[in-house]
Amino acid sequence: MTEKTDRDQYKEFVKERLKSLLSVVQSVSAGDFSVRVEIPEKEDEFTALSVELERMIDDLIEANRVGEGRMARLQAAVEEKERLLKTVGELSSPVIQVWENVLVMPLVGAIDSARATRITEDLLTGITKYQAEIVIIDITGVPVVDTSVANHLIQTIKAAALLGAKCVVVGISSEVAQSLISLGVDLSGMVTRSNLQAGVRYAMEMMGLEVVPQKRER
Amino acid sequence: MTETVQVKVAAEADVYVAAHQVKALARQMGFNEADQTRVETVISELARNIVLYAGEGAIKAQVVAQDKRRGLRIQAFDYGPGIVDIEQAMKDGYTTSGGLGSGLGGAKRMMDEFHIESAPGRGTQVTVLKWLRQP
Repeated sequence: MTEKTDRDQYKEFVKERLKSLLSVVQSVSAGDFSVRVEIPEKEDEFTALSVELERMIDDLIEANRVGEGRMARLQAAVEEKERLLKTVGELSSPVIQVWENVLVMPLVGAIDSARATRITEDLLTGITKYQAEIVIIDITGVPVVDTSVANHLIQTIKAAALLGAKCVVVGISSEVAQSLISLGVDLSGMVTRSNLQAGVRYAMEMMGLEVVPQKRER
Repeated sequence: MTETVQVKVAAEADVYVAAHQVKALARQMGFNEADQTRVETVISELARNIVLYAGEGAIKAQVVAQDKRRGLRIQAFDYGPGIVDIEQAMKDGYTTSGGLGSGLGGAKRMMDEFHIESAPGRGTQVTVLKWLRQP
């Protein structure tokens, strides 16, 4: 049996330690953090490296934990946002009959494409249901009327006309009026009145109706 | 007081976020109701253009000062397809998307300064500025 020289023994020792450290690094790379670095009792050339590697693995485990916590919170926030969006989407655009064949549709909030489609649908359903001839669309609650919103309004009014209902838009604020003029939107075909009361008066006129004081017997 | 607002625009909902935040900045600065609405409307138009034509971009609003006056500078930029004919795009009612027009002409009329840079393949950048009216 050949006696191992000191050099050979040292080579063996280095090989063994490197093999064990490599095995740990490979496990961690694969996502297995359960392995631990062996730190022998007797301090040697590999002790410093082993200690630092162990520390690094601990840091990685902690970073993972924090990351997972953040992911969970982010996921919860995304789900909450989706629930909110769905709720907002379901806010119906009510169509209210205020007189025979006269409807009022108050619009509140921003009108995006999805809402605009629903608003048109709800309005057409209402016109059919109540056999409406006049629809008062109240946009007091719509904060910004840009070309997109104006376009949605125009399309809705066109669709209503196909069902034989005339629309009057009320609630345009002076700021919105100025913006619409600046935007160059052509609303000459649209009937408008300043507020809901004026809109109702218009509807009554169109229906050939008059509101008169009651005769009181003395 | 915040001096800058920056909003990434990638979906229709972002149009409202951007309009709301910049309007808040305008209100903070002391713009009157009519000007606040103008700012909100212009942001709405510019941000909507980004979503419609480029898919993704950003709105940046900043308080600027020159001599004794203060103003709100708004930049809308995207790396989308760019505008082929800027002059035509500025005409009211001209649209490539079936709407009522891009509102660029309106944006120019509602603001004090207007600058647009765009080229096919190079994206679009619109910069507008509104000065705070001195009492």
